[in-house]
Amino acid sequence: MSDRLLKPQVSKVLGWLALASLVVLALFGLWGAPPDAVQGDAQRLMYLHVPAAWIAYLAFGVTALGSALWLWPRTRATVWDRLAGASAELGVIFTALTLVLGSLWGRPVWGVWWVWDARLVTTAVLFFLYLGYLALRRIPSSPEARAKRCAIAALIAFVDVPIVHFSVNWWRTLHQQGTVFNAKLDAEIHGVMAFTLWFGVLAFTVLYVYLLDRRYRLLALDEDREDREVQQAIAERVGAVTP
Amino acid sequence: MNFAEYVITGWVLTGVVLGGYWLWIVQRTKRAERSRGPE
Repeated sequence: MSDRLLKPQVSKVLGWLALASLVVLALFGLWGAPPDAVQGDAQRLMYLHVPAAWIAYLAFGVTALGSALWLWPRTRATVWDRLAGASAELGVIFTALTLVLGSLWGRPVWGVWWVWDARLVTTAVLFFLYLGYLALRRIPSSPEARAKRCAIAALIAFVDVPIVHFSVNWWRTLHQQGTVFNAKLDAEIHGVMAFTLWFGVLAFTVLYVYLLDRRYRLLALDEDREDREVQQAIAERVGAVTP
Repeated sequence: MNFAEYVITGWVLTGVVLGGYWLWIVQRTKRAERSRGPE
């Protein structure tokens, strides 16, 4: 069973590619793109806020997929449980970033750090649902039992993802409706601003794939160490009782 | 704070969070590989 998702050389290239694309994103996001006609410079947070939200959706989607593949008897394998765990952790980090960046953007534009708006509340619920999922993964038990209960929890938690996305359509919210993935599928952003936004999505996606591979590898190493410790403890116990 | 300060705070915070997480993974992976020995 492989303890890596990608070959080490591919992972290294992805790491450098992620770093380079984030530098380019910073150049465009902070200087290259013009300030917004209404919001001015505050809108530059969009180039991080939207990609972070996209990665949160993607990460929780991968967690749900990995969980479903683990639950399906024909495809059940440790790789899917690890993939789900690694991706959920990334999803929590990017959801936290989405919330904090949204708050930093909301303060100058809306005049408040937080408002009990459907989009904000459902996103906060998403954050706490997957924080609970990560806590569930840490409860000591057999790998099989842990994987099963975590897979079920991940699939239940994923129900909130479409609720977050469509909350701006289903309820009247202070949060604006989708700029790119709106009901008409007509992007309301053009030129350098559109390029910077799409580049941000691409840069964050490369970073996500790289970090997912690294986190998966770390999970595999941790599981291997736990196995060795258990084997050693058993060997010591057997040695202690054998005359 | 003016608009630019919110923007700079957001960008720096993102860099610190993602960079910190990246370094944490790399450091912990190196430690775990060392404790396992050569493959």
